[in-house]
Amino acid sequence: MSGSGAMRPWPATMRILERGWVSSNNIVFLGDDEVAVVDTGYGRHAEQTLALLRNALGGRHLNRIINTHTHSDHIGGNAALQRAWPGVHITIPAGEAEVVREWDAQALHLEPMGQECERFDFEATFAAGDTFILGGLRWRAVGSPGHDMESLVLYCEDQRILISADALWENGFGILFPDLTGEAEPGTAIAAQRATLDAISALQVERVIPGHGSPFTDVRGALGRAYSRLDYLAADPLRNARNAAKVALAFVLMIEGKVALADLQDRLAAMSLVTRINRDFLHIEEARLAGHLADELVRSRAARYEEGWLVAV
Amino acid sequence: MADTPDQPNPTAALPDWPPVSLAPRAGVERRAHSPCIGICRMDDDNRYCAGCLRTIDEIAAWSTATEETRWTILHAVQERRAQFADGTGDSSDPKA
Repeated sequence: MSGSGAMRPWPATMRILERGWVSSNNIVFLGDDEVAVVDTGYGRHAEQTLALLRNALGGRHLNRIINTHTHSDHIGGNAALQRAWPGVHITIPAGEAEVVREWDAQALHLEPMGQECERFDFEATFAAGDTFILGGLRWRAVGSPGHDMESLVLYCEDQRILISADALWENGFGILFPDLTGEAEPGTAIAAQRATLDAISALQVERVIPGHGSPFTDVRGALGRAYSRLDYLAADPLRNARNAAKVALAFVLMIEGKVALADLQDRLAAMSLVTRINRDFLHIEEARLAGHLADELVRSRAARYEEGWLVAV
Repeated sequence: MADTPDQPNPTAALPDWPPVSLAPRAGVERRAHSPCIGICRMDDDNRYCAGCLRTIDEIAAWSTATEETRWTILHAVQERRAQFADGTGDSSDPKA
C-alpha cells in the first residue's frame, strides 16, 4: 500500500511540503528550540517556497537549512530564505563545500544544465555518520552517492523514516550524472548507486520522504523497482545518457512553460552537458539534435508541438 | 487495482514522464497524483498557483492529505480551470 491515506500520522514536529518535479520537496521541523528545513527547492520558485514555509512555520523564525546535496532544485531557495529569516544557519554536505564556496557553476551543474541559482553562504558542513536533532528526533546522515557523489540522506532510526533526496524515489532515482559529466570514471555512479541502495536496504526504513513525489511506505517495492532500473541502466550506458539529455531539455521546458522551436538548438547548445552527452554517447548531427530530443519529449507526452513552440504538457 | 473511467485523473497522462522511471504505472493503481506542473508561482491575486491552481493551504496539505482530500482538491482545481477557461474566473496565464 503506497497511498498516503493509509499512513500512520507523521511526528507532530514535522511538516512535509510536497513540491513537483522541478523544485524538491521541503521537509520542515518545528523543534522546541530550533526550526529547520531540509532542502529549499528551485530558485525561480523561491517566492512560493517562502509562502509555503511561512504557512508551515506559523510565525516562528527559521533557524536552520540543511541541504542533502547541492543541485539547483534543492538549494535554490537558500538565498531567499536567508533574506527572509536573517541569521538562518545553512549546513551542506562536506563534499560539496568547495564547489559552493567557489560557486563553481560547472560542478554545481548550473551552466551544464542551463539552470540558475542564487549564490549563498553556508555556515557548516556535515558528513556520513553525523547526527542532528530535528523536531525533537535524532537523524543520522547516511552517504548516498550516485545521482550526486556527495549526497547525504537522513535516517531517523526511532521513527524508521528516511529522507531519501534523489537517491530513492517511489519509482526510481535521480539521473546518474557523474557518469556523464566527466567528473568520474564511467560506471562510477552506477556502482555507487548500487551501494547506496544496498545501504538503504540494510536500514529498517518503514517510510520514505523522497526528494520529489509523495511520501511512501512500500519501501521494499520501491527498492525492487530501483534495482531493476539500475540493472536496465547498467546494461547500456546510452540509456542513462539519452535520459539525461531529455531531462535537461524537459527541465527548461517545465520552468518556462514553452520554448520556441526556432530557439531550441541555441538553448541546447547553451547546455554544455547536452553537448557533451551528444559528443560522447548520442552522436547525433548537431542540427538534428534539438528536433530529435523534442520528438522524444513529445513521444513520451511530456510536451506537445503548437504553432512553432514546444509546449510543456 | 484496475483503472476505472468514472473518476478521471486530470494529471494521469504521464506514461514516460516525469523523469521516466517516476511515472505512475498506468493501470496498476488509481491514485490522485499531484497537479504540480513546475510553474510554482502564485497568480496576480496571490490566490492560486498559476500552474496547478491550488491555494497555498492546499499545496501545503497535499503531502499528508488522505486520498479523499486529494481528490477533493483535484476536483476543485478542475472547476477553477474550467472557470478560468470560460472567462468567469480570473488568473494569469501560466504559459504566458
